[in-house]
Amino acid sequence: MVARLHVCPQSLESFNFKDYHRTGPTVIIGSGFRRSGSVLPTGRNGFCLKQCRSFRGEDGRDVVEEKVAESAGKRGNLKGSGIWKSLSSTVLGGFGLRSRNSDEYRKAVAKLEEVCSSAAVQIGRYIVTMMSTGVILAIGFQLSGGDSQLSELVWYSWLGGIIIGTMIGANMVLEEHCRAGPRNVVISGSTRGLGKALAREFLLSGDRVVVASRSPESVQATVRELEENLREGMISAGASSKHLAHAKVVGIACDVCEPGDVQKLANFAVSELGYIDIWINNAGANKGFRPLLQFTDEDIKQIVSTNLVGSILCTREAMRVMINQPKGGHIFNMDGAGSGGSSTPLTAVYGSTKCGLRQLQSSLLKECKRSKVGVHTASPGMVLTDLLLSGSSLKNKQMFNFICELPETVARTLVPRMRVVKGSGKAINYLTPPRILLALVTAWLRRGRWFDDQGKALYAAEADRLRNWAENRTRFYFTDAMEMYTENTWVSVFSLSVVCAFIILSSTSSNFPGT
Amino acid sequence: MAVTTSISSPSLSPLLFSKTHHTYFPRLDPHPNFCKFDRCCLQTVSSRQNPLCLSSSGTWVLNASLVRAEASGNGREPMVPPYNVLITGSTKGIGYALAKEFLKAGDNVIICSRSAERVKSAVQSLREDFGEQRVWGTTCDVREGQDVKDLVSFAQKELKYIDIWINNAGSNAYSFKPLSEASDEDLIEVVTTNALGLMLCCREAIKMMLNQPRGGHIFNIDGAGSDGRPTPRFAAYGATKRSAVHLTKSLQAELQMQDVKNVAMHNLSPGMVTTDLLMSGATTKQAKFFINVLAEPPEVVAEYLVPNIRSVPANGSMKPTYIRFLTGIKAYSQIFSVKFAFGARRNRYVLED
Repeated sequence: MVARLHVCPQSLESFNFKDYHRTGPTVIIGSGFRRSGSVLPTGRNGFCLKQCRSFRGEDGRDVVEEKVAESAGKRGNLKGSGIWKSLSSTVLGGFGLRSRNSDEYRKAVAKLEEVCSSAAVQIGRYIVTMMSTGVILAIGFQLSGGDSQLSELVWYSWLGGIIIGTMIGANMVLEEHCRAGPRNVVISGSTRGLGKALAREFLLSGDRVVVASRSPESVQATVRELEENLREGMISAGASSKHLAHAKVVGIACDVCEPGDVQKLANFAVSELGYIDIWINNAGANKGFRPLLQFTDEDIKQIVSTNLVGSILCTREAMRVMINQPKGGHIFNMDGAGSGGSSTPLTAVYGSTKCGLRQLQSSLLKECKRSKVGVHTASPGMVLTDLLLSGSSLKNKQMFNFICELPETVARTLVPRMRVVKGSGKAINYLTPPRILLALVTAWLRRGRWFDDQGKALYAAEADRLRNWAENRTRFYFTDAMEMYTENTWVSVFSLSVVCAFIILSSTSSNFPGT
Repeated sequence: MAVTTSISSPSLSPLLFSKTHHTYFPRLDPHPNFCKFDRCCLQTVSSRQNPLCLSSSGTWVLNASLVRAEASGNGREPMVPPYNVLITGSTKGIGYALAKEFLKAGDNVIICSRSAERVKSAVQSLREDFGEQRVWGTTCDVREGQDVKDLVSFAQKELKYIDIWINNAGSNAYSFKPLSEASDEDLIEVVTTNALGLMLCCREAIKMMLNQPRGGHIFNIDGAGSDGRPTPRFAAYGATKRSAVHLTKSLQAELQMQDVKNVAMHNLSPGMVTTDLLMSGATTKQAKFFINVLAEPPEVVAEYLVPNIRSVPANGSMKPTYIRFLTGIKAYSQIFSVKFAFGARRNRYVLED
């Protein structure tokens, strides 16, 4: 039993685990983001390269992986320095100008907050994972009871856990890059709001997108606009625009509650793109916030047929197409208020349709168990779109300041996860617990974020937003991949606890014969 | 009686309806005194042949207000039997059985359904049993807003007010297939009947009852999937039933928010009932087993449900309730009894092999 445990550290002799431990956590907790960003990833990439080579012997792959690892290191550095630069500039510029210009001050605060939030999320994740490994480590020592051989074992197992966790994480990042080819995406209701932002984000990730909406005019306008965005994206990306070479956008008018239209949409997508990888049922309707009595027949009918009938018909059509595809496909249904089952007064109809969709999802999960079609949910949280804002009161708007996000921000988080989704039944959420925590912590900063006291919108119009956003985008391209990477460090916690359990068992069994 | 056990056995069929996860107010036992009162009124009503609705209800209000003075604390007229009951989709299945049971208990009933001839024949056969002035029928397609409004005005014309409104109309298009094989028409019918129809009915019912001095109670019938258990082979039906329970919950919150005291929303769970809706799905071995073990004919279910429904307005409480026929304990005991009594209920409704 002991020999088996020794196997793992022996193969990695070059790493002095005690040193690694001492530098690892202290660097992270002590000095913050920059050093943790640069030190840890390079260490991890070392591990991952080793492992990947031993797992797969393909030469071509290795080269790719090495390149990726290099770029990962570079990106890490680049990102760290970028953040520090912008942080210092905002601190210096923002607070200096405070008295002179409130507008610039607000901008600076928003920028500062954005920087801090991304840094805080990263640091928080590392701290939490490291602390939990530390706790288990301490428990391990407690259990070993000072026995030097056993405490050595605990150290080895801790290191083993970290290595396995990072390897799995790194593998995911690498796999994402290996599968970086363009995906074919269909998004319903994508001429406004979140749908449009998602379409744009997919497009700029190099995917082929089908835009669909009820009115043919708005579809045409959206396609033109997205093509324009794509062109700008290619220019700003310059030489590295290779991944945009296959990107294209097409559109068709489609009323999701008409079975004929939905079929037409599926056929159109197949004839234009060949196959469909991802189908997003984004079309949704809500007719304002008021009691059920004040909804007209037509309102209720539209909400039900768009949200429930539309999603069911689209899902079925997508399944029919994807079942026959060798690669299968993934279907996303959008969550909304009420999905979780909590009551939604004033939007009773909308809430109950969204709750019904959750049930549909769980039933489909069972029906699709053996097929290659994945059914997932995506939850955008609260997004500043017409759906949310129509008929919202002043008080609502004050609340929106804290928790709402611009559609582009949400899309940027959701799209990379949607692109690499595997299996079935995944939930891709924007409002994860750390984000909610952050929103609560920074509530005082967010008071006048989107709406002022009179409920007037303070955020820029879509076109202006996009101009600023295009510049940011290239710089932060790797952040989401990094986020996914740290999430998998949890595996190390898990593996470590398994090893601990194993040690407990082995130590008790060795004690029993003696007594 | 107020059983809220939770079943968590994965082996239970998804067809099993009993709700477990949501926390609702446990159902209150009928007031002990009121049980007696209930019975006495039953006798009197049944002893009268062909009672005139208006005058008789007027006298009843007087009598009952003496008996139950304590219930009318908030200025609302107390709700006393006979109740005026409206049941949608009530020309067959559970709806019909419920109507019959309410009539037996002495209440006045309005039935409705999509097909004019079914309404006609149902009204005819009910009138044969219970007399002319006790039951009325009209055609109503719950998916059409105008039809539901007409139904309300029909009810107001015939009965002046409605005490108990049961949203029973539901459909699963009588097809049990994976979603990818389901047809457009079936899916649209299921969703529009179960979700849209229910919402329109709820809206009209609340609108009507807000202006009634006696107030009113609305019951939504749940179904497979309303507890969140997956419903493969009838995904669309399950989704609509889950949304129905959610709608009840949201509307309860809404009514509370608006400080409405005289209208209450409830859920009603009939469990598994041997109607066309369920029997059309008896194709797999598992489904057949559970139907034989757990399902009951509509008459049995109605016999249990109606006294419980009637006890809600009777005890004067406006708290939301969730009345279940098939509770967790019941389901378990039936499954175990089958296992131990060597198939006492085997092949009851459908032939297992």
